Amino acid sequence: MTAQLSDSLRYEGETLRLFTLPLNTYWNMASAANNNDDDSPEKRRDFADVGTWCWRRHTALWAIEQGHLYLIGIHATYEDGGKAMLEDFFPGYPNRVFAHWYSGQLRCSRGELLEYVHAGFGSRYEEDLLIDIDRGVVKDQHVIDNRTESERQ
Amino acid sequence: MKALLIGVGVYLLGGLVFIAVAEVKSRLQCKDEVSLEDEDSYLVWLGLLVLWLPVIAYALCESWLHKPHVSPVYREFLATPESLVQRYSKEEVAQMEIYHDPFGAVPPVPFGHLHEAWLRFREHVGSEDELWSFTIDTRNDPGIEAMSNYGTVHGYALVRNSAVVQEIYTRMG
Repeated sequence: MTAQLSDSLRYEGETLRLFTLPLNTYWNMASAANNNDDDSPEKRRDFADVGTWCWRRHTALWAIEQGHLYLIGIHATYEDGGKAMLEDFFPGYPNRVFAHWYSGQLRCSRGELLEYVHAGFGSRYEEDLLIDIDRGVVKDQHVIDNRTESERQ
Repeated sequence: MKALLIGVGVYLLGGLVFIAVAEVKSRLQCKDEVSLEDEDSYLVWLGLLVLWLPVIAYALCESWLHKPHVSPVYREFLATPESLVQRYSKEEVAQMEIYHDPFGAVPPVPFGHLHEAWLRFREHVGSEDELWSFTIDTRNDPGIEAMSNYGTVHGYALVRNSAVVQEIYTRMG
């Protein structure tokens, strides 16, 4: 399995690689109770293949502002060549969507790549910034230093 | 020497008992099947007479190591009757699941951007049905293999005649 493209998160003036996928949570939750409805959000997703480095066929741009998590962009192309827009999935919200559906920990990386892992989001960067979210609202955050003793010197 | 001979005699007697049991069992099970030719039959019985104990040991090991695989019972919904937490009315749920943010980036309707899922869920609610919140850990749950990466899931379940017939999620992870 190839290393996968991450999402991105704008936070406190930086754009970070985001290795958590809150949009997948949305797809899963939106598909509940759909009873194979062809017009459900899950079924409307018909993205063109990108390559083995992005099995989910899309990446998303997120932002945290005023302590709230927002989806502010989606990068994907439909199989008919059209570009995916936020409004396709969130009608009436073309620029910003409050991610109230997400509860959990966001993992973002900062710094240099220290170890490339040819699978998923397994590569190791200097730091991980972990942000705890509850129903789209930031509750806590902390940083993990991933460097070994020798890498710090 | 005498003890050795007695030991061998007991062992061979055990073999004879084993052969007798095996023969009776095979005759009962395979009444119409063609039996081994006489010469082959003698060789098999002789082999069993000498090796009956290893044969039994091997058969026991096989039965322990290759226990029949019990397939998990897959279910349609994450929620189970055991995972139900508290009963609510439709109105209470609708009230609790309205979200706000500083930029007005969520519709002021129940379940916000998941309002369609709520509407689909609500369509199923009958007058005799019950609405319950639920919490379930999907990890290591063999009945929902495809959804075991959802982590701990919270939501509401529609319960009819004590069975979950529909569900909607509020948290995953």
